[in-house]
Amino acid sequence: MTRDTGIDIDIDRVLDRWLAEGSDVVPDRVLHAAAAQIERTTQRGAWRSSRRNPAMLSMTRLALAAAGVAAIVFGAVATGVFRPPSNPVGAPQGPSPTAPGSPGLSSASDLPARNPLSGTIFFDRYDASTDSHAAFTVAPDGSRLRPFPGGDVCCAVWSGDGSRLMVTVTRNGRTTTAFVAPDGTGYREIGAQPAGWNVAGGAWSIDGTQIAYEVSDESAPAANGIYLSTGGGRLRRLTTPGGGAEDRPVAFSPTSRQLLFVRVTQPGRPALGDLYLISIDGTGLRRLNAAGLPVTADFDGPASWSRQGVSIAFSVFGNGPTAGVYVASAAGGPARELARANQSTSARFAPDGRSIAFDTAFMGGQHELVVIASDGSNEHGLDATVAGSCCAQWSPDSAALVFQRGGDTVQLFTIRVDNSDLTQITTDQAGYGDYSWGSWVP
Amino acid sequence: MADEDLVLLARAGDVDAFVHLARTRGDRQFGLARRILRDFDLAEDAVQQALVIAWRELPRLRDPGRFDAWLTRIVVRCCYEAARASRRHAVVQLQRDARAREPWTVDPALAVVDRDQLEQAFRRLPPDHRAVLVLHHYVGLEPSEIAETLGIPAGTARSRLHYAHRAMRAALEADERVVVAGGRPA
Repeated sequence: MTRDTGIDIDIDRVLDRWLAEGSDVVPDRVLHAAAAQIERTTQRGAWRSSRRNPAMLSMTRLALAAAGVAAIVFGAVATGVFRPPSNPVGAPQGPSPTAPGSPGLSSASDLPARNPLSGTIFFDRYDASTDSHAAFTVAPDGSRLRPFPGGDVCCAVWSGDGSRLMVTVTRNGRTTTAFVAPDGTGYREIGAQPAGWNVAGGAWSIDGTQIAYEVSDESAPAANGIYLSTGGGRLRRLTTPGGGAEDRPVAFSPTSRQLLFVRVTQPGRPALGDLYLISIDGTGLRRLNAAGLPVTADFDGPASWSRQGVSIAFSVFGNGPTAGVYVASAAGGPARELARANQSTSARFAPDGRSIAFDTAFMGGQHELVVIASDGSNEHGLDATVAGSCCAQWSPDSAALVFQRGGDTVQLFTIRVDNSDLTQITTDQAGYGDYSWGSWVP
Repeated sequence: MADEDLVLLARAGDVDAFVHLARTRGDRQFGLARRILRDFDLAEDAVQQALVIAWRELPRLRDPGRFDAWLTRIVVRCCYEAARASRRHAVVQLQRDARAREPWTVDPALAVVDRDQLEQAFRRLPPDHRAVLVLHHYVGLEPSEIAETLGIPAGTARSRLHYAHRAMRAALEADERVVVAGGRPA
């Protein structure tokens, strides 16, 4: 073309040539970084010992490996696309954990002054040689580690005011429930229970008025179900699973008027089933997860209530686009997906209701903890928790999480939700069962 | 395995399949982003973000045969966002300039002065005009295909291409006028 300058410019040809210049090789680091982000938002899950039998941990892991989870990352690496980055996914990328009892890694000069983590963590350790639990309490920084009296004790539930614990006690092959102060004093078991019954403490309402027990009787399975305490040592049946199913309490609503529970229909490892909501008068039974999208009853339950009791967060356990964290309204209606997450064990509202913590399995079985705002925004992995971290429980002030990391043997850690102060609080090479964080301070 | 089968697998959550798709499309999409953004680091960010979004949104892709166009649209949108972010962080942008001068094959038929003028003129274009230029001249799409890829009306695609061409031509002609006035040897 010719303009008044008398110059002929073929702009098409010029742009064709100019835009053809340059190399087109995407740097590996781009794919690595994308892979790391995808891993955090896709394959979720991690393995923690069953509430009932922590020895299931390794079996569960094997079953998952057989399902091909582990092959994914190695396959990806073999393709040459996701080569291990300099700081590989799966290796701790946050601060190194500190030794138990020592202060957090970050020094006072690194971080603004903050309140130290407070309260007490109760945990139980499973001894495979004796098939029994031993319970302990410990401070969030790993100090004040103390054995908890009472023999084979596990599965503590804190009272709403943090002053008492409800624990499950196994003696002579039979399970019962006891109440005890966090320092081990004031131990009291529930009254006499029918012969053959195992009565495990399941849920304790915040106001202390309601307790849900999980009852099982191997010789008379028809008795199995959830029972509520009616005072005076009497129990009232709330659910009847039937058909060989098993009901496990998860949590009372903040108003104490409704109960979440899991009905186990696939008693494998992990146990899978459906999440239900029921009023304590036995009415209003409603399934929260969609058909074919199971939750797991292990790992201390898949669901939690929002602070006001308006919503329920839960994890659908599985792989693929339907697996993830869902939120359901307590008032009704279908649950909506909040985040994609494969093999996620649980979704836990923070006590302040602002955030939800859940876990995610990485390719190759790596997994980490993820925190997301309750509206679904600001999803972020806790970088310091990669490499086998799962099953978080919140601190009472919503500032930190206690979680476990490891394979066949695990350790317990605490970490602030801002990714700081990763602290290892146990050192024994053991399988840990349940753990929970209460506000009680000795 | 056919690409559409890979897309179906990836859509169902098969990470391996998505990895293969990302690997085979990565270079082209990075080339697209780098040309739109004219910045190596920004292009890296855009492609990385686009891959993550693509994985997340893949279950919503109804037609597997549209995967490439769909991915291109995501990359272009991530480029828009990266361009906006770079304007918000001009200081950071200045610090990135050194990376933009990494090895880059050039066409010897284009004079250095042409290349500088093209670069300056192109950087003055809004990102959506840059995108249609790159899709047309680098990817080789016709305006109707650009419209389909970006999800915009065909008239809009043609209009953007027209104005972008005009701006680029004007920049070169201005340069030529200066050179002619200065007596550059033929």
